[in-house]
Amino acid sequence: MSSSAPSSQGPQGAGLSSLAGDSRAYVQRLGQPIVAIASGAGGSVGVIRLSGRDLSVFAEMFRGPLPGPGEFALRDVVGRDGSRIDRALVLYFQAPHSFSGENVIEIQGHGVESLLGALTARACELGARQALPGEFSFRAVWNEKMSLEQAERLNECYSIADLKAKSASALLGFSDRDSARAQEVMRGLLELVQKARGRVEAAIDFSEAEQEQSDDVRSALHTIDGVTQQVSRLMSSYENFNRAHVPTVVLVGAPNAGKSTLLNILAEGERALVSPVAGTTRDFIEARVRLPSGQWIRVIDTAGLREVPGSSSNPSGDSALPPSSRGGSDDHSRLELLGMQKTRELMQTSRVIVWVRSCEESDLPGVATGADWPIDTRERVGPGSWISQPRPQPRAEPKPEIEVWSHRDLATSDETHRDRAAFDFVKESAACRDYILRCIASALAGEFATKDSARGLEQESVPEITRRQFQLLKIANDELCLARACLEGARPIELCADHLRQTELELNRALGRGLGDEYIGQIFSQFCLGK
Amino acid sequence: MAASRASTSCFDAIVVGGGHAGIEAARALVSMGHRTALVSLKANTIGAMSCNPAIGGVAKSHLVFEIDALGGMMGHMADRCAIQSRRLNMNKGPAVRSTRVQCDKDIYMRLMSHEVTSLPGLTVVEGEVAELHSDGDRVDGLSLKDGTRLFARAIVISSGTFMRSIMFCGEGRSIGGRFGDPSAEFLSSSIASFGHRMKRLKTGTPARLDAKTICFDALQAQWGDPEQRRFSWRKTRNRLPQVCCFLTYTNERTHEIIRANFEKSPLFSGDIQGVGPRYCPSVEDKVKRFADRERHQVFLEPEGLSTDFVYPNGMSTSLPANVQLEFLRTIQGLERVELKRPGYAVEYDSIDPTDLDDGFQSRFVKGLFFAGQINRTSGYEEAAAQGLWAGLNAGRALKGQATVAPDRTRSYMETLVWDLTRRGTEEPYRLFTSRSEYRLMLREDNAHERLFELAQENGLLGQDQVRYYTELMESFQASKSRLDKHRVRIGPDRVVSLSEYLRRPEVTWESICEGSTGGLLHGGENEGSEKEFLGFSGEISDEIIEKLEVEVKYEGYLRRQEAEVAMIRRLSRLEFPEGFDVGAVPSVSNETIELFKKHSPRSLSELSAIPGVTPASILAIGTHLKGRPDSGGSVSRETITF
Repeated sequence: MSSSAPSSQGPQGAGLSSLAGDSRAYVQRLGQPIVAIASGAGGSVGVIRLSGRDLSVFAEMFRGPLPGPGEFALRDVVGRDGSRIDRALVLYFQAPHSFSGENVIEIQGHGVESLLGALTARACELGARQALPGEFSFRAVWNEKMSLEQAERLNECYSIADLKAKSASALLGFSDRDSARAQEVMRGLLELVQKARGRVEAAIDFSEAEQEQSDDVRSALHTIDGVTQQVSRLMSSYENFNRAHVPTVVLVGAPNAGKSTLLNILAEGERALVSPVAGTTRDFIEARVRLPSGQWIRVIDTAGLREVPGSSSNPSGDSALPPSSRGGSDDHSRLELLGMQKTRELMQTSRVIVWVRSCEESDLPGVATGADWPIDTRERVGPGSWISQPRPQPRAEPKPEIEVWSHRDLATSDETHRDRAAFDFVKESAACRDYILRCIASALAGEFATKDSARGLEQESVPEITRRQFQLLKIANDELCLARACLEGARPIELCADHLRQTELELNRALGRGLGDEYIGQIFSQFCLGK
Repeated sequence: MAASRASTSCFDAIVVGGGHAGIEAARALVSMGHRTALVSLKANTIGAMSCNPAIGGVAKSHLVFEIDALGGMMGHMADRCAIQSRRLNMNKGPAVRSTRVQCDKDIYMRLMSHEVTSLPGLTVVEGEVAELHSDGDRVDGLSLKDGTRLFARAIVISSGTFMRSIMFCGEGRSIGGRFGDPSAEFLSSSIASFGHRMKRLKTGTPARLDAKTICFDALQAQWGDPEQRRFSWRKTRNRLPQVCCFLTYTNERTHEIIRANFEKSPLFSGDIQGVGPRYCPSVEDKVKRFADRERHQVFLEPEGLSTDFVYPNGMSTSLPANVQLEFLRTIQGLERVELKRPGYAVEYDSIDPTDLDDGFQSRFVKGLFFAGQINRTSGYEEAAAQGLWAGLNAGRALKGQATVAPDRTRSYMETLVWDLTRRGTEEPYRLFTSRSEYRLMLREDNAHERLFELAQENGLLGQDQVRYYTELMESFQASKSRLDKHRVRIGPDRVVSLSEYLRRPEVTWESICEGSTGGLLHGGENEGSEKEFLGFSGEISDEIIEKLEVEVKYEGYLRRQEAEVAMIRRLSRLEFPEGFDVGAVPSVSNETIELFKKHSPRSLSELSAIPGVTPASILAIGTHLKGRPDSGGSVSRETITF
């Protein structure tokens, strides 16, 4: 794995998410008038939405009075000089009977981007502010117009490009009663984890009763196993959905080429949600990344397939053990093979492949860039262009590929890299992120347009939990694996209690309790603009 | 010094009760420069160990180390009187390893009485408190039953189990707080008259056995560790001879007899209304509650070097004396046992600790402090820790200084204070390591580091102790940086610092010195010590090595706890000003308002700890607090990054 320095400093603090990630931005500005284009691109009608405590000043935008509460009227929208910008249908919703729970004006004009831009600018002239990502939804949740889970599901619908109608309506129709069921399960799990911790604490605090201690440990192990199973089930309900609907981009390259670093760079906003387990590596192998267009993609780092703590392919939590107690070299190469097998599968099912190469290693012509990574079976078909031909499936369709070079700072000659996309991942993270996301977006652009029914899983799946809950459960799952490893003697038992406590914390967060302020800001900052 | 008698005397402070709490309270007060009177029913029982003859144990030993770090007396006294010392939880990690010593009870009490009476600035007064006096909303002294009037602006009540106490032994009952001792009859109503809510609690003690009638040969002997771990920074020159304890078990017969006599136990007959400690139950409780257990452990602990009294640990009971004898005789080794004294239960008055502020001061009358068993705890160590805390805060109050807010991240002592005053308890409270969320940070080995600043600021330490700690911390830093700088080659192309090498789970300093790391360094040819191989010639004291290993091996976990602590601190700084009206905050759910009223949290971190409070409400209240132009002085808007 590459050095951890970039992941700890990396791209954090850059861009919109750091501003929006601060929940104060949302809370302190409650009531302020905000504006955004609310309609999708390409329609003949475009909608502008304004929300705020007092919107009376915006009557000036229109020739003629604002319509009454719950009414609409056809109005000229005029600029400061009185000239007409557009003729539009104006709707007025009075608090609390609106999407956000505040007073809301909706302007339905012509779906011309420049006109919508002008309307927004006009509203801003009168004191409105361009809404932060997810700010409308935030207010709706704040004013109890919808639950956090509902808002999150709504956002999923907006952010997944090729969501099928059936899935979308199922997702939106997922009632609070349905999510209450998942909550019930999680509450049950929380109780079980508490019970297990009770036994572990007893084993620690009543040191004299030896017989009881081993009973306690056995019982705790049993409980933990039960909980792990149920957590996995909940997680898979989301994973299936995610796999079926979100396009996958896979990062491939030699070890140490910088895949993990790149993933961290791409994952930017996501990282704050995933806290690292102290003392172990929790570089996640999969991240959800939003393209500039607002669409989600899944980015998978194949390196993680070989060495993942607590991943579902490694439920025994092997990696929590000290290196010496892990399997011997036979085991190790078996794991390697397994990893490569998975990588091949991923390369086949993914929509875009990103090759990560290190400038340092590739200077000599003829040396395979994936030296000890015999996946790279591509053939060169012409100057600068590549076609992948994964060996097991020779008939596989060629798919878009992107190449990026890491360690530009280590390149021996500048010549070789002049026309390559080479970056110093640490120092040029923002530029690198920008470049790759643009490449992915354009590679996918064609894909989104074609109605390719053969791709992805066909069955409709509605996740029982939201993405946030999934992420929290994932951490909880890792913690449970570590807790188990402690009970089996890999680490002292009091650390087991620590991991179980952390599990409780994550479960509580998944239940919406004890969410820190930073979480709330994060959740909404990942929403689409204008939602 | 003889107990003095005077019709009228003036002091800065008065401590009522000479048990483990009262002693530490008095010591803290005099070390802070306050003239203090210690009132005791019997001056010669100061420092008596009323129940078991041991100090320490899991979590409790942490308290003793903390008491010592704050200049207290308990640790050193236990070191001096130890007749057996053991480290518990050695198969677990360093944070939960604990020290437990058995003491010679008699020597402990005599030495302690002597030490206490010779504390400069302390006057011991023998007598029973008749009434507490107040002037308006603050205490100004008390009068004794014999008419003596003592004046003081601070009073610490640490009367243990002695308030309106009744002893039960089978169907018999007698007035008194301990075998052979009287009960304090008047104090209780005086306290209640200020508005304190009282509750009857119960505790018990087992019979004492006559060593001459026990057949030890058949029993499993338990020797202590060859090396005694000291509680105190002070060295103990003369160690007492070490003794052996014995382990035996109850059996089905024992349980049968107990079961057949349930109705004779005042516990079950309803005579005792008080709630007993859940964690130190009487043997009849155990038989009833764990009916499926075939046997329970009984540790036979000698109470001293020059006594035949043996304490059967785990056999606390209030059954009639003849029944006690009957069931004890079913136990292996005790077939012909005779009792020195039967076991009994004590029921006594306690106050509701949530009626106290952070410094254990009464919310109803200023200058009145409470510490120890009266605050619904059990255990010598818990009592002593509270005494120290109450003494410290009473001392500060006398100087016009603010109460110290208990910091759960700093000590078990403060965890205990926090739990008692903010959560309250309905049954005797005992400390466990699991009471703390910061268990890995709160260890025996770093007690002095955690509390040095607090101790220093308040003048709780003598010069010697300050110098000792300063040197210890300096030498630790020096050793640490030497380990950081010393590079060792551990493979053909791996060079790491010695401290990184020590970080490996399979490496300990001990294994390095013995060369028993399995040839990790030598590639199998393991001749001689690895320490030599590493080229590290320095000698490092055991204390330092232990601490280093702890920090190195918990490192990742400690960092995580520290991050948590930082967040809590941030939220704790957002305190609610006096008379804060949560209803006035916009957009707070009714449920949160209800919960707020019920739990009356003092800061945002406390609010967020209440189950059911929504994150949105926390955010709203936090933002509201921060936005206030004057949020009570303690909040500076610049320093908070909420």
